[in-house]
Amino acid sequence: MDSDDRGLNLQQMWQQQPPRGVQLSKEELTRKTSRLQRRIRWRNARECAGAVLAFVIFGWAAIHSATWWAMAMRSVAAVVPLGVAWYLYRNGSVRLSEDELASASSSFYRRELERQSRLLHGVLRWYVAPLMIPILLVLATVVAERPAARTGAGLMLPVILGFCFFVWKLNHRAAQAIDRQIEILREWEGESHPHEPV
Amino acid sequence: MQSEELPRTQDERYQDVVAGFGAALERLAQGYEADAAARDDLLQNIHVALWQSLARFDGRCSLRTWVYRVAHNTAVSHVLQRSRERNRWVSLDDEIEPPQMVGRAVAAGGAHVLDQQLALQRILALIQQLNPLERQIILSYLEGLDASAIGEITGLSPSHVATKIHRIKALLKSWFEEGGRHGQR
Repeated sequence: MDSDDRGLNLQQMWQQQPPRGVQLSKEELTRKTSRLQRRIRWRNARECAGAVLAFVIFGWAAIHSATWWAMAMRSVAAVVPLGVAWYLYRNGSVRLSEDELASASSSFYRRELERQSRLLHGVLRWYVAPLMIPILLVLATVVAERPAARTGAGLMLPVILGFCFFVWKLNHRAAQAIDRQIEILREWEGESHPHEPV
Repeated sequence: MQSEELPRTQDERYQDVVAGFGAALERLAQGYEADAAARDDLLQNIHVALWQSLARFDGRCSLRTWVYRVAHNTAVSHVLQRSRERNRWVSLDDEIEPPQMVGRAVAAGGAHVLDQQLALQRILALIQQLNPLERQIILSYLEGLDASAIGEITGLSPSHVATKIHRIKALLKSWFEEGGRHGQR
């Protein structure tokens, strides 16, 4: 038996697996589609509401600040969640259009990897900074108001910075692994279409 | 498929797809998801994605190409959501260890049903550890599609696909020979 015969044998074995005959009724398809859309709307609404709530709380606190620098810090803390919500809306998990789903699989796979890579490379912008900026601002406010708290703040600072570095490093490594896969895909696509830009 | 041959409604197209590709879609889901419950979810998601997409199907490519693209791309989105697995994917260009006993079953001619099931399980184990694009190529190959058809689905050239298929066959052949030697002991 040569390899082609074995391949044929494998193909037969593969295709002869008994099917279960899965088929969804129109009602099920419509229901599942609606459920998916509701889930996406609900997730977007939650993220938006969280950002708006943070904006209102920090904004209110900024307006009622006693000093100009406290107002500035709280204003920054109010704007950051809005930026994060916008970033996640633009780059996070999005519902794929029918045209995207019907595109050639290699380019679809590459685009999905590129989107994930952008998210991981941008972790400082959309995760670390928004988390740390309010913490550091609060810390600075405390130190400014109570000089005795400087020692405690001094001890906390390396822990915070260490955490930031750890999160960045972890995501950076994951992004590099994805970038390697993207490079391989581009090579494959380049071999397939040597005269077309990829 | 020419536009005049297209069924008129989205639902009629979906019925055609289920009749023509339903079994293949079940096998495809097997290649992307090992867990039975998650596989059912994936299969249902593929059906929903296909039903939605068929409203936009305009015959610019064959129905088969459309169906396989949507199904594979939906499955790729599914596996990419589990980022932990991504680090365990391998490529056909890597050294891949043969699963135990895969060769014995097939080298013996695949006559015994139990052996066939065992062989299928082991082949699935190989498929599920490949990166998604190579997974797609091997799954399409097992469905009997030629390099040209697989190239149309993946966007890779038929010659590139043929090279990949050749590697898949060589890999499996080495496993069979290895398994055959084990079987003779």
